[in-house]
Amino acid sequence: MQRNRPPSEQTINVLLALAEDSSAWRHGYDLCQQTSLKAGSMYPILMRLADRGLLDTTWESEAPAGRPPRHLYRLTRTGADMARELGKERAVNAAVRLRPRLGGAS
Amino acid sequence: MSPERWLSAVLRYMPADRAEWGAAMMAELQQVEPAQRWRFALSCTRVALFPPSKGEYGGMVKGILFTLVMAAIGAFLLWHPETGGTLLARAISNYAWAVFFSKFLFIDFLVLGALLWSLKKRAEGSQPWTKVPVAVQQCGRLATEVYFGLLNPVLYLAILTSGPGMLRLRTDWALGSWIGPLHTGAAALLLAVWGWRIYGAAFHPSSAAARAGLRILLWASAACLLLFALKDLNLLIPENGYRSWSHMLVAIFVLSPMYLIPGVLLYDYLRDAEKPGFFLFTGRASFAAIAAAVGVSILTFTSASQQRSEDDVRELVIQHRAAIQTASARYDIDPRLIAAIVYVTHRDQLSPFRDSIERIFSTAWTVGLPDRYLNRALDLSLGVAQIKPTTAQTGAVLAMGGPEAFQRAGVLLIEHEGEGIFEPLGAGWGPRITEPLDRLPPIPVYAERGEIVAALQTPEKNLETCAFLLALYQHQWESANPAWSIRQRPDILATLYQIGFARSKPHGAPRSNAFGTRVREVYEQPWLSEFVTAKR
Repeated sequence: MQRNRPPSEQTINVLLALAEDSSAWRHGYDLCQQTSLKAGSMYPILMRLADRGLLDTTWESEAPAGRPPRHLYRLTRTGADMARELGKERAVNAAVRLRPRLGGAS
Repeated sequence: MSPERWLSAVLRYMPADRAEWGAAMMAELQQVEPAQRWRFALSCTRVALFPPSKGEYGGMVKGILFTLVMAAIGAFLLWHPETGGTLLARAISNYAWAVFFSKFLFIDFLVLGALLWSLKKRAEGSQPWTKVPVAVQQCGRLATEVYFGLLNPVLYLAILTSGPGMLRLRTDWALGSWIGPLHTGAAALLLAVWGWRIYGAAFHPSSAAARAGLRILLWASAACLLLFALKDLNLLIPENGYRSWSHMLVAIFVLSPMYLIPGVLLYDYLRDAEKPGFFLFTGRASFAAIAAAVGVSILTFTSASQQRSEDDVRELVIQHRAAIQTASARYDIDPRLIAAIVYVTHRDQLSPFRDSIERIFSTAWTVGLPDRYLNRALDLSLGVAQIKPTTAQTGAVLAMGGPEAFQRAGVLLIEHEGEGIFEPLGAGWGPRITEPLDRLPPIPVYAERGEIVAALQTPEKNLETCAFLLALYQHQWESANPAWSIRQRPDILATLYQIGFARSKPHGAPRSNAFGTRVREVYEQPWLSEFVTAKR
């Protein structure tokens, strides 16, 4: 039985990074740089997302000579929906966190 | 050491089901700026060694459960050996008959067709059975592999030798001495292939060495299958006693799926040794199964391997004093020698669970398996003096004048050999030596299997048989040359008792083996001198 735990902050960051252009294929190292995650954190997240059907993976079809083809990642439709939901949730939470502080200041 | 080399080394430990991610990290490393490569490689090391579980808690439970169920079955067999032995024999016989009967409904042709269609579909790049759930597909494939020869034809002879008329020929004997090694090889391959399928995923199966090893196993299985097919084809040739060429062609057609199905399955795995489905468990589940198996084994053998104490074994020998004296008087054998053999056998030689294992195997042997070679494996030493049923019966034949006397009397000894009742005899038992012994064997020469086992499990009959076998060796050596008498040599008699008829060749300077030497040591101990007054 699969447990549905809420995703970690790091996982949400990866999902949101991928959701910026959910139709584009992304490389692992680029995602590391964009989210400031180390490879040791990034790859387990990608593996879990792929295991849960939130991430499509493929290999570069035409790798330049002299280097192996790279692994590419893109959100599935379910993954994109989930990222959208998480993005909204994060925005709401940020607004809620921000409101009292603004109120206190006035 | 470069970061590439480091990462490549640690990725070898990545489980097979995550190998694709290992390749992804390796490819990505090439894109990392040189200054960052070590950091990237070291960061990936943790993922390589401890990748996230693939929802594998269920898998690990499956691995542990598998081992526990196996242990429970083993425990049941040991605690109820008679039931276990009967079930074992019936299960093998019923399996053999079930496979044979599948021919009459042409089920095997349907299975063969389905397998070939799947292969063709996959070769074309499409997925077969798309409407069938994956779990059902996997179960179907596994059932086919188990049912049709376990990817290995070791049980096929069980089917063929029990087959009604079609292949029940005696030509196995005429085919020569390679049949025995062929069966042994097939049994070893069977264990290796299924052992690897169950536990292999724990040992980094995607490494080059593991893949090469697996290919060798699969090719060896294919060669074994081919040899079995050739052997059985040979049985069908009219010159070897089969009815006619037309019957032969019909038989080949009917029997062909039995060889083609495992052949196609092997071909499929050989095409892609990393094919998903070969390993029955994932890496972690295999680890769990191995850990559970090691734990169960350590617990079991620690609790069971306590050697019997000297006092316990002496007590056992003293308990049988009357039976030993009766047996020694009947066959004119020194009672101290019989007592010493019983002592050494029980003090030094018996393994854990021996009594239960004896009962399982002897019950299965009594019920009878459809295969002569499987029967031979069940022919285990029994009882207080550890005697094999076939040894007892071979002794009985020798006492009645040897195989030649039986053949002279018109008894087809080969028929009895076919049933696995008699052991092969060596050159040491020539006609001059096998003059009839002047005493009857304790177990009648034509006793049924059940009667032989029951007699050997009775201490009195068992000890009489022990004395009788020793008397036979004495008789053999004295008949060959009175100067070579071993009557006063307990070490040599004990050695012969252990090594068997085929290796007993009378000569003037015999030497004892370790068992014989140990028997002599015990024979000379003072407590045994007091045990009985030895007859000289």
